[in-house]
Amino acid sequence: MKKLIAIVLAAVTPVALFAGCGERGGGQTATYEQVMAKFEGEPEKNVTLKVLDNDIAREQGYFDQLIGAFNEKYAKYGIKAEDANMSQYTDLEKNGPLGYGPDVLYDANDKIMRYAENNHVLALPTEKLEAYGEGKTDSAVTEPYSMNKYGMDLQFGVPINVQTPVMYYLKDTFAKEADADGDGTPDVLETYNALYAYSKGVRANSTVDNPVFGYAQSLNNEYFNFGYLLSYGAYIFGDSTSDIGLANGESYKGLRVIQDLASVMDRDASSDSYTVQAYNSIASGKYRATITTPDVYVKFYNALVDRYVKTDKMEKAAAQKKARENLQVADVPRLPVSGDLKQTITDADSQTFATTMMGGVNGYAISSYTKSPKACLLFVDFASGYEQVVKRATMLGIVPARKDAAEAEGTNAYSRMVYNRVEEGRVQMMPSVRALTSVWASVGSMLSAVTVDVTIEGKGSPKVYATDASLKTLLAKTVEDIKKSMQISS
Amino acid sequence: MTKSKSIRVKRIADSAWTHIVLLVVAFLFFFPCVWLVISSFSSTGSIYDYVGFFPKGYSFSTWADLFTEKTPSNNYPVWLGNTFYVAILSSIFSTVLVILTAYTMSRFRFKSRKTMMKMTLLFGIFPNFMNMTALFVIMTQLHLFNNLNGLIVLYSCSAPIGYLTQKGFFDTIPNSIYDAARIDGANNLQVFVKMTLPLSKAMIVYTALTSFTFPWSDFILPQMLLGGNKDNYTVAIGLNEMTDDMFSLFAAGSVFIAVPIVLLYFSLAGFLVNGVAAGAVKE
Amino acid sequence: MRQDKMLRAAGEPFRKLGRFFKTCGTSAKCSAALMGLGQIRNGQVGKGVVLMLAEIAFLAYFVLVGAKDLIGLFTLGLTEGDPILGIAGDNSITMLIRGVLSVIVLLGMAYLYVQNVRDAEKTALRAQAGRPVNGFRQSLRTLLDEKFYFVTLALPVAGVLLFNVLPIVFTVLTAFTDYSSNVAPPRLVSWIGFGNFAELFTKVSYVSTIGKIFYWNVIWAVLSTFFSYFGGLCLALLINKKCVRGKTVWRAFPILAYAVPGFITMIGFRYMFSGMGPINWLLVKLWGEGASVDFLDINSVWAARAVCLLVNTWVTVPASMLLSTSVLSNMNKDMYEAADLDGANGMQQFVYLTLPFVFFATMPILISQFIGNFNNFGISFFLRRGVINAAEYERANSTDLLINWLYNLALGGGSDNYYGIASAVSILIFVITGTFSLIAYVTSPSYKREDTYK
Repeated sequence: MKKLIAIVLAAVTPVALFAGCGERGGGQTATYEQVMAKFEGEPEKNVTLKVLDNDIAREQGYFDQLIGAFNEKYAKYGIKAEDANMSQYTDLEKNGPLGYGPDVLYDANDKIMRYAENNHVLALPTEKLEAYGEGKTDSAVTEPYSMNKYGMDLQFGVPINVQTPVMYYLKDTFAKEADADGDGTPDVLETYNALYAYSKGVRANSTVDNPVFGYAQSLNNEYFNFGYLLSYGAYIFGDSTSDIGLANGESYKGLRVIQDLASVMDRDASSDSYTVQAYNSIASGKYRATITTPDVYVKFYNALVDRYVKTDKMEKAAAQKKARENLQVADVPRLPVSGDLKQTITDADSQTFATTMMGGVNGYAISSYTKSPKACLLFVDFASGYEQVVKRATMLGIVPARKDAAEAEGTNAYSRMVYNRVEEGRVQMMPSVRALTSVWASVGSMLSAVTVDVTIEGKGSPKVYATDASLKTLLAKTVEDIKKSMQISS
Repeated sequence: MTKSKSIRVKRIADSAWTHIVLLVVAFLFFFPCVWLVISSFSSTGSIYDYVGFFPKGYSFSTWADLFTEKTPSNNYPVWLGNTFYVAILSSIFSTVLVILTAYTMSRFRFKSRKTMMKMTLLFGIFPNFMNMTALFVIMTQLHLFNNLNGLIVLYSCSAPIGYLTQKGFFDTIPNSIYDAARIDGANNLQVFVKMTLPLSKAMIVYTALTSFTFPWSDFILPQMLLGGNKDNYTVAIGLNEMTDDMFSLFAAGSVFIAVPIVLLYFSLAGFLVNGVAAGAVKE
Repeated sequence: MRQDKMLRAAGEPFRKLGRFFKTCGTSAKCSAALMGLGQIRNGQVGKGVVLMLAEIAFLAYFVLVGAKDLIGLFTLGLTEGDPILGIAGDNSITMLIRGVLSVIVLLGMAYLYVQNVRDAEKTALRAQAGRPVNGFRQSLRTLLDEKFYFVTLALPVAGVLLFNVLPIVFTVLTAFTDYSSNVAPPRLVSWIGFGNFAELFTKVSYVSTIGKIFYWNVIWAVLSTFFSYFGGLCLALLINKKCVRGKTVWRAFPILAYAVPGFITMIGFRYMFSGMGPINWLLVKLWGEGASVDFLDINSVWAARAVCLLVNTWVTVPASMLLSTSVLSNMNKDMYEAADLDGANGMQQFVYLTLPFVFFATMPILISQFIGNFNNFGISFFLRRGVINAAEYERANSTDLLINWLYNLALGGGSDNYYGIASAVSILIFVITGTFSLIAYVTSPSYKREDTYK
């Protein structure tokens, strides 16, 4: 034992001696030419690029099409792209410095900008990218990829698609519902109040073994549900990360909305199961409406085609045609000023307002550890080109970040709607701050607490958080929790 | 007369409740396994299309998909091949190393022996993956990251830590057998090859079996060291990444990899009982 | 006074060394100067050459990489790279691991060096005494005989050093650095002394989390060991009863459960106990809407813990039953007959005969089971996959054990990984379980009386 202690001491002593040594770099400055030096000159020849795209693009064949087209075009230069074949959650931060990881990656802006913070992805020479041409991409969607480094604003990713919750439903389910304003969206999906009343009725008319839900959505999901708080005045960070605006304004009304929504769902509302089964359930009619991001459009579509072919015994082509027509995407419903979904709306303009939701932009970035940055840039330029983005939109249903692609013939009709929301400021872009982890963690458990309180504890109505005061206390406590958890990690 | 009758009644009652309890226990152990088999035949595949314990519809399509589909989330035949490769090679190398270590520790007395025993005991109680960051860095340095061979090396090299069961077995072989051979002029290598190995067949089988099943069903190390390269996945990682709406696929994949283990266990039940008695605990 | 003593004690090895060199022969001195020289002088040319080559190889290693690696261990890098600008810098983490490796090589070499001097001295004395000196071939032959353990242990020891000891040392050392995903290559990592421990025990959210986790960790280790141990014993006794027919068949069911890979059963059970899963469906069918239980949801506490215990029992009872069965089969039946004659009833026989016997025979296994359960990663990991940020916990949930928390801090839980703090937690686990098991092992009868069997 003594020997062991001696060994430990011997090991620790030099550690203590050297603690605090070592020079620290950081805060370097450089000229734009120095930053972009890696992109100067002829592209590398005879190289293979490992490209990491997301699972949907790979499953749906879009990605194969993309690298196929790229390889065909650049075969004469000896540049080849291939599937990195990694998990889409591969951590560049961890693998990159040790020589593993993709050359080009596709991810959400918050993730890519976290990489950018510690130099894991390259700053991109936007003048060499077609997507950054005059009027091609809105500044609202390039902004999230911008960071001040080396004393200048640099772009670290090329935006491809805009993400923010939209509402999915089937046209024929609501065929009998009124559409007073004639915009194609049934009235029951125009406001959350109408949707609440509708859901209550649907739920009451279904059986225990075969439940049907009007509105169905996982209420524990921070990303999708923070919008309710945002709409009533909450914000994530103010001027600094120590200013947490969770309890700002009337954000407790946002929790009220969540409670009311929980009361028309079941106990699974506080788990991910609503998200997981959304595709099949919208197709089968178990869910009448749900909200999620546009990039999973194709999953709803596939599930619907599958149902038509398997259950309704339709021909494949007819099933696809019917699914295209039947699957609808609309704006998220409007919220009541009062925060009470049980209230009957008589005047939509004064009693409700347009909902603000969280959002983000997915795009391509180039790993700093790639051996062939110039070839990577060619790939990124190709993948963010008009033709490919339009293809991505038609094959996967994404909302293109490029304006020209969003307005192109054949692109989803809802792209315009999403774009409007971005322009109207109704999409709060995901901040790329590390401290966000702490916020999301606490918000997630708060949402679960509120939901469980309704679905399980209160059997349909709030029990612990029945009063406004209790909700305000909960919000204040959550802010405290976040601050506690950020104390050191920020 | 009445007394013996009451004893008989008592005995029957005793036998009855014993069997009832056994039935319940058997059911508790059996049902989840059966449930998994039933689930693999669910027609929609999603865990949410159930009424209680049972799927709403049945079909064989999952089993067909399991072996024919090739998507990012299902590439079962390749995973199965990887798993076999890792488990078989690890089992061979681990067995050799463990048997050598255990034999040496049991048979020889040398200076650092007690220290080594204490150290291995100390190391042995910590799951290897506790040092996950270190393992990750070491494997990248050795170019064994993202590489099935890296897993084999890791499993085999960590195996000797768990030599105690086997040492316990070698301890029971009396020294007199060795001494007799030594008098005949055999050296220690010859003694080991000609005497010890044939005597320890059962232990070798047991060691091979346990060092096969560990990599076969391990999840943590492959998850850490295969770097998300889906061509390198083992069945355990692949199954664990399946989502709730792929439950029947998960169930089918699980049943399929459980079957060889179950067969092995039943056919080698005798060895197993002895091995367990010698101090094995399921990981 | 005390310092004096300590100084003297510290000086003792050196004085001993001085005395050795005063008294030893020329061969030993030669070997001390250049490894293998003394052996050649003694007439063992082959051995001498091998040793010399070893020294040359070592020196080459040390000059080329070893020295740099060793210094790197202390600095952890001086120049910070910037991959964006294409500036190559030091990678603190590989430097750390290479540094540790160089220390291991250095220690190994020092050991070889000492052995080499000793060997030269011993052989010289042998030659003086007029006894034959082993030739190279004979030396090799001893490796297959008296020193056979050298051959058999070389590979296992090397493997364990590289894949168990090195990682453990690395983990221990990272606990004293600021290594996290925010301070990771290309940024330089540096030594921060006990900073991580300070953070662990001062940051409010960590302190409350660690307290709650430790509390549950201890309860869990005790209860889960208890249930699996006595569950297995009772089941074995039940099947062993004379009146039971078809013992093999009854045993087959638990063995089936034992054979199914653990992660499969756990994921299976997670589905069973999920919110709208079969178990809740059953509860609702039996006792109505209000009967459903919030088993494994994020903020569930005791229900989740109960499910974990239940599932763990299911998973571990079969092995425990097999163990008890084989121990019971070694038990002397006469004792029971004697007890029967004395009129002891079943319960008394169990308490006074069976239990002490089984308990004694399985004591070491019980200890290792306890430690295994203390560090049982899988249960909470699989049963509550993705449930990380429960209310009142920092990156953990109510059923997480210290080892799960360590995992969440280092890998899971979203974006930021705190490797340094996670390593501090692993040191905590090292200390707790290490102390416990060492005491238990050293005081166990099987260790004390290791040689009495023979």
